[in-house]
Amino acid sequence: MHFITGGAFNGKKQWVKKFYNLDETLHQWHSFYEEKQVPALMGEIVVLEGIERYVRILLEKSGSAFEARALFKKELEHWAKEDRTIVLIGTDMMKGIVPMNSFDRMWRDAAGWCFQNIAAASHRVDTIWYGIADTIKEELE
Amino acid sequence: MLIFISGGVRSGKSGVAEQLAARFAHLEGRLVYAACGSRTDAEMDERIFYHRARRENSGHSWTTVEQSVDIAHINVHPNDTVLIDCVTTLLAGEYFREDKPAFEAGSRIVDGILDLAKRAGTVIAVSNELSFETPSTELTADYMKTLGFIHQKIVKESDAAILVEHGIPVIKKGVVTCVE
Repeated sequence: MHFITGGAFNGKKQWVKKFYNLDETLHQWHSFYEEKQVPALMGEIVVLEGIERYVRILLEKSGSAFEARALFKKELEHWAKEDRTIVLIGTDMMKGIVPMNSFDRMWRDAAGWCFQNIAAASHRVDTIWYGIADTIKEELE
Repeated sequence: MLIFISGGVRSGKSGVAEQLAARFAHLEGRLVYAACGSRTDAEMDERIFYHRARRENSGHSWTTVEQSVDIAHINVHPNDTVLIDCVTTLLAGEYFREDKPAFEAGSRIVDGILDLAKRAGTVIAVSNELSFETPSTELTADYMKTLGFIHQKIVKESDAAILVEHGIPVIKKGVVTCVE
């Protein structure tokens, strides 16, 4: 698994497309900004975009950050077992001031936890800063 | 030469930018400070005061121009070093001006900065880091999106890109020496 994160509007999606040469490579692209359900995974390369959105969906379902994380962890374990390249893209929204709204606070907490789980389960983690990647974790296969 | 410098509020990015500008200054060119913020209130006056005092004590002679829109309209010479402070205030100017559409504000700024970089010796564009926050209003989200677009374009075209963290310049692209 490969985790790509960084702030909003930093060019994460573009970086992934270029890195995996997706314009010329068969792949499955799933965006949680558009689709609420986890898809049936197909093909060698699967990109799941908007992971923070997916965490939000789980939070809406479960009602607590703790529960959302547990649900997410289960899903993550399935993904980790898949015999294909799974690329997860998530927006880092964990460095701002505490949100006024209590749901947003829970969302932020849940996303932060889930991102830790993803990073732990991924063999490679990149943060993207205006199109430039910083590889903060890389395990040799 | 085009250099992009970004950082958080009070990260020391203007200081780093001014030092770099002084270093790149050409003997036969001017050091031009493009102030893009509009003077809106007492708080802004104070910020302007601090920045101005630092330039006056820098030991270099700066030419200050105020330009909150149409950044390329600055009159520059091929040997000039121009410091644009900063892209976020420039975006506010371009975004809320009444004579041109807001949705083109981002490309107007990118084109303007690149045009300036062609005509001047060195252009240093300073900007503020985008926040890592949960998205708030639609207007803020659109503003952030446009700023992100500008940053990506400028970083791509730049010879060097620097992120300033707590006064420490972190070089993200290119080779720059930031100590005196």
